[in-house]
Amino acid sequence: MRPRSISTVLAIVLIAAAVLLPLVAGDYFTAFGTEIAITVLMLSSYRIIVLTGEWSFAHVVLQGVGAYTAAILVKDLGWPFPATLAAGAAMSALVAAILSYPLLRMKGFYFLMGSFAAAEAIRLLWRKISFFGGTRGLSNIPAPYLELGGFSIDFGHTTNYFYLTLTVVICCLLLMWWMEQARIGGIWRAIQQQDVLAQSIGIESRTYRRLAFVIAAAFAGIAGVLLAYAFGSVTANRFSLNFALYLMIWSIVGGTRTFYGVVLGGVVLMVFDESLRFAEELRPGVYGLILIAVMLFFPQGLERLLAPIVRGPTRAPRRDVVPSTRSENA
Amino acid sequence: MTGILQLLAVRKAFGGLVAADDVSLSVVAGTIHGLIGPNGAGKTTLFSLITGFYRADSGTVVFDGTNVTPMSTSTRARLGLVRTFQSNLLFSEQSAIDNVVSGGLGTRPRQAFDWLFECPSQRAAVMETAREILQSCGLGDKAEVPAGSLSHGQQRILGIAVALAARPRLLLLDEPFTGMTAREKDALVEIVQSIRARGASIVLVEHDMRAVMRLCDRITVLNFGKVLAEGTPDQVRRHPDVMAAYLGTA
Repeated sequence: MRPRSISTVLAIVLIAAAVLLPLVAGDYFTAFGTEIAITVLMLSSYRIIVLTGEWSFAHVVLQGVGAYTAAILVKDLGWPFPATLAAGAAMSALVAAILSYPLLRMKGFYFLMGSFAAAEAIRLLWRKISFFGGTRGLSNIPAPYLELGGFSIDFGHTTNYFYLTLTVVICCLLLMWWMEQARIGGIWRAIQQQDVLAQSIGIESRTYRRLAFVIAAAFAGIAGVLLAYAFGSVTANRFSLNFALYLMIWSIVGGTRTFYGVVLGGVVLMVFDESLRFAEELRPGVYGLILIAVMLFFPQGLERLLAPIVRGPTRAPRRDVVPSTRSENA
Repeated sequence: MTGILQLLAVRKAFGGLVAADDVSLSVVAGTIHGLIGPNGAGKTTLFSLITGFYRADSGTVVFDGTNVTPMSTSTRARLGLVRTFQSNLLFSEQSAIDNVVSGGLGTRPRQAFDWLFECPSQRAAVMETAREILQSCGLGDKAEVPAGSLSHGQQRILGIAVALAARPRLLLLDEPFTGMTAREKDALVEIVQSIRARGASIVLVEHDMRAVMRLCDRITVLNFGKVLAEGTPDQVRRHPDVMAAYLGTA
């Protein structure tokens, strides 16, 4: 079997496992599955920014922008679910576009710090302004409800909402996967690998870094909307620095070179996270240990474990399929 | 004779050091124009001024009738002004062929939605073009080799292939012969000539005088940021100031 078809099969198996989850697990684990799916969307959208070579602290807050947008629109104006989904994505993208002007004048560490400052500023606004519910946030967000000619689905039901989330997340992942294969993905990778060379062959690198930041934010906004409905409430604390750090750690542990790396990191570490629930205060320490262990033993992340089996959608160097060099070395 | 590139009194100073002191020169379309001078004469600075990595303190850079002085590097590249680098600057994680594909990313003619989705036929055409460029540079059999695993000379030539993928109308080569074996140099001379034969003009910064004399139609000699002499290879070779600059005065 060709590597490509193996990864397709793996993806199908993963999706099938997800689809079957509510049938074998109870409500508790189904709700957890919803959370995993949302996190996977966050991680793979975060990877778009990482593709251009930057690490951002603002991604979780941009998710929050989507969540707040949906909460306000559905509570105050009674917008239906699809409309809030689109509005959440658009609002996150808009905020990111505005932030991108000052932020992406910086690079590397300075960008990281700038994104942290911008994110905290937004988060403080949520806490201080009563329109956003202050520290208590916004609660009692009604669940989506579909009614089509006598046929109705209540997405307040855990299983139904899980399937809704899964569908939205898979559509987003497909879209991102396409993008990475297409011209824009190549440009992002070129900028990350060799910014100066990229500019010299006609790539306006700042524009494309900005675009990556905005597109990633749109997907984060969608993840935020999904989260708002899943919890039925939105608080500023859910989008704090802690979660931004977790996002970063999960990406590093999973590996950012391939599409499946971050998905892997997200799933593994969320399951791990859940199993540590009995010892809440140990978590940060254990995360530190994991991070150190991964950096020591799998500097490219857990994806290296799968690399021999899956040859993912990246066109990374394929050292082992180069007959010409091999014969030279022999 | 039309000048595809004109520098008009271009000046650039780094603190007290004037790296380009009111340099004026004109590159005739379809020629190979050499830029030589002792170390520190300001050749690479001039390159960076032409391609927009540096902005000139004063003076004008005109490319094919367009004043490109205020434009960014990438905008100039899309107009057809593409350079290579002294160091082997490559997308080193990618294979040779993917490097060339990446080289065309900024300038490849666009199709609707190709940023989101590339249809297989489009993809095949892009690969075909890249393969042709690699072939013309003599790297056809190295297509799948990671750029970082190529020999120094091959990496230098791949750098030129990447630049060619950006469809240059004026290609600026920054010391392409450095560190090459004699056989690689011969091959590169032919590659440069074939690039010119296909219609691109070339500006060549080089220390290897044999290569410069073999290739160039005209040569500009720089010294301490100033134009010392200009002319055909023969004229430059006999110019007393040039001999003084290179060998010192008696």
